[in-house]
Amino acid sequence: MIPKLKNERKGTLMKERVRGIFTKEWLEVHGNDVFAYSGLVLCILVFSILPPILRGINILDPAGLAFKSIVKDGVMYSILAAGAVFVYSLGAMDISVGAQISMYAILLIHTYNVGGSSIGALVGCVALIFVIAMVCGITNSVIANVLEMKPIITSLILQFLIYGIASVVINIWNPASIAITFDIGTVAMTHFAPLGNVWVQVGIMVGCLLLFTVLFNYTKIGHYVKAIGANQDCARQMGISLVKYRMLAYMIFGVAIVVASLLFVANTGTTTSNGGKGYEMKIMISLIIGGMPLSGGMKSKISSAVIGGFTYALITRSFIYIGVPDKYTTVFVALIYIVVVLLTCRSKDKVLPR
Amino acid sequence: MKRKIKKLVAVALSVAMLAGILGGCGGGDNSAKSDDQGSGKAEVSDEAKEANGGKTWKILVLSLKQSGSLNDGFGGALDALAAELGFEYEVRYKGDDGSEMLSKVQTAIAEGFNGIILTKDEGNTNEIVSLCAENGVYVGNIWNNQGSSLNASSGGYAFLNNPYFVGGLVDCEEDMATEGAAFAKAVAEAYESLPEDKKEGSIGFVTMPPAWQPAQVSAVEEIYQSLLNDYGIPESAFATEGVEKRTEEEMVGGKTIAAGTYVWPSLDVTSKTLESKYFDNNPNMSLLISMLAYTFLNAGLDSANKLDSIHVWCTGFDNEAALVENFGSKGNQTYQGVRTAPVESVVMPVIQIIDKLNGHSYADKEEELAKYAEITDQNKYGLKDLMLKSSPTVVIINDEQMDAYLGGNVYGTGNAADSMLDVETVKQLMVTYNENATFEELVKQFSNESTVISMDKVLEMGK
Repeated sequence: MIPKLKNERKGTLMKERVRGIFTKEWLEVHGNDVFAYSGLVLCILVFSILPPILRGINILDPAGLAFKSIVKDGVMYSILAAGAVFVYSLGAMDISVGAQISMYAILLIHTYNVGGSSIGALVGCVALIFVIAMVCGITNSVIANVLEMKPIITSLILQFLIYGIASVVINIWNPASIAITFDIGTVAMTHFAPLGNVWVQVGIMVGCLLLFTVLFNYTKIGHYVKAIGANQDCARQMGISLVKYRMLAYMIFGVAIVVASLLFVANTGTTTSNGGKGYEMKIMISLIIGGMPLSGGMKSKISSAVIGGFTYALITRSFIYIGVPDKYTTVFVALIYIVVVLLTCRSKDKVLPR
Repeated sequence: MKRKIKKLVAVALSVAMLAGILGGCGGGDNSAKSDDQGSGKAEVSDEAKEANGGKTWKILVLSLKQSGSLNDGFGGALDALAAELGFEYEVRYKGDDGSEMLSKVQTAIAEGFNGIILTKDEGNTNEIVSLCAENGVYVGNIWNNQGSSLNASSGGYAFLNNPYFVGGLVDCEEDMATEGAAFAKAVAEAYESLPEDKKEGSIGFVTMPPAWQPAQVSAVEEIYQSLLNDYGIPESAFATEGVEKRTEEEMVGGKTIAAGTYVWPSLDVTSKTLESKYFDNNPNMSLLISMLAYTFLNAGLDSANKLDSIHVWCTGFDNEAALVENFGSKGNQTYQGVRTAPVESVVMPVIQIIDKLNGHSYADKEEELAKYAEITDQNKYGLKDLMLKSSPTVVIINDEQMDAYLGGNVYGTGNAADSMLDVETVKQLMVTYNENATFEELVKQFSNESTVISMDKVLEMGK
């Protein structure tokens, strides 16, 4: 095509695209995304405008603890949720996340102590928990396939098993305490300290998200897990190996869990046998708020993790900054969650977009 | 149609939420005692304004409970002092675990609180104190001996000499001598009144988990020895079926427990349940001395179906119907004795924090602290003893004492006027208002040697 005509055609296409935004048809397809993004923007606006006026607290001050704690929470939820997208896209779930984080945190701290608080011990332990995470991922997926069980059941078994092991090891290594922490003092004195910096954590999150986005959108792994989640039988008949791609999905989630465990230790400096309890629910809520369909399929996207992760971090941390009494903040979070679910739930039978 | 209804419900919930937020916005106009959230914001006196350099300090108490008598009691005890000492306070639930508690501390710092009181040790006190110190916030402690944090690693004692940790009170005496003596006497008398065929295996013991309260293990052993040796109770009277003996000497909580002593049952720290096995193995048990707090004990007794057939002397008083309505001569008479630390204990670390915020500290305490500039294995227990003192012990052993405690003390009424501590007494204990105030005197007035906090005072105020 002649260059001038080519550019004119591009311009025409762009105009048509812009005209197409916010039409009824466009909203039917992208409505949930608009809602999710709008929710995050609304939260940022409300919690950045009201707290300074009402209570003199500025959550946007990068030097302030409010900003740091919200961003660190958002980073944790986003990394975990982004890894979870691979599993949730399959239409599956993994509720052993909290147990794994607890166990890996115990191993990280204990190995670091036993290794004389050296960086070699840290690196060695990261390698160890990486291997364990891969084994957990493979176990979750393979057992579910072989025994034809719902993946949530196998992850529930794994959850109990890991919490049990965590409880036993902490009792052996630290019989006089419910917790384990660093011999050298606080986490700020250890090699984990740099990971506690909020901007380092944001950098790690960006790196993880880039990796997961590439894997999810531009490789067979992403395409196939979505296909399996959309219609498993169809995927099988297309020649997609369900076992292989389920396994890969759980292993990728395992990578996210390892990274999150490192950040968890850097943020808290200590853990008990169930210190990571609750992360499986936080991931689920983050993904739902972010617009991710829990049934998986073609509409799954990594952006749900980030939007939902930061929205959830904002709403759990910030109600108190506008004066809502501490004991009622959970109620308000629950109300937001119900509103989101009511507005975004849809029938699975609806025709998927092209 | 269904989708429209869902959207309408969603909008209605959103409006309700907005209304709730607007209602709660801005921190509210809290009176000196708020039923809702346990906070106090009374008008500060001129003397306090001058003493505080024009500032009104903000103190947060992270309580064991979400609401109820305990929080109201803290509120009442602090209400009695807030206006005259120039501070506002809030009482919030500490959270279900260490991560939540750390999160609440972060939020409190962001909100501008100047001092935080911890009531439970989740094993992360070192991190909390370090975080608070970085942000110029003081930390105090009541009702826990920080055992989990101190033993969480070989560096666990580090927070004790942090300038931003003012110390505080553990949950009554570590050796539990006061309640031990009272419970032993009561149990011995109850044992003597049992029919002969009911005496064998009738006396049992339960402890707190060593990981939480190691000192209680030796305390229970001392009560057991007292019953054996001082009261002449025979060995056969004790419920020891299924109870193992120590095969070797053990150091627990800094004390040596001899080989051959019983390892009395305790709570599982992970599941936080007391198994019914002990009660099933000892069906004749009718008298139980429990160093395990009521909160954990009652559920275990209930699941073992023992509530109607046992008399209990326990720690960890709670103003709950299951205890109060079955205490002494009431109800099924399960609970015959309970030990508690008075809520007024919260004042001890609070006034130290206010002194520090005003730039004052106890000369005698600072002199002692200077000896612990470096913490070693040899001196760490001395440092712990300096910073964590025993709170006064209130033992409730009969109906009169229970009625007085619930009806006449700030714990039961939540009323500032029912606090055992008045402002003038407290001011005399603070360096801000009395340059001759000493740490020694402060510790004495918040111990069993106190002239202001005691069961006798409770009874007197209850009349």
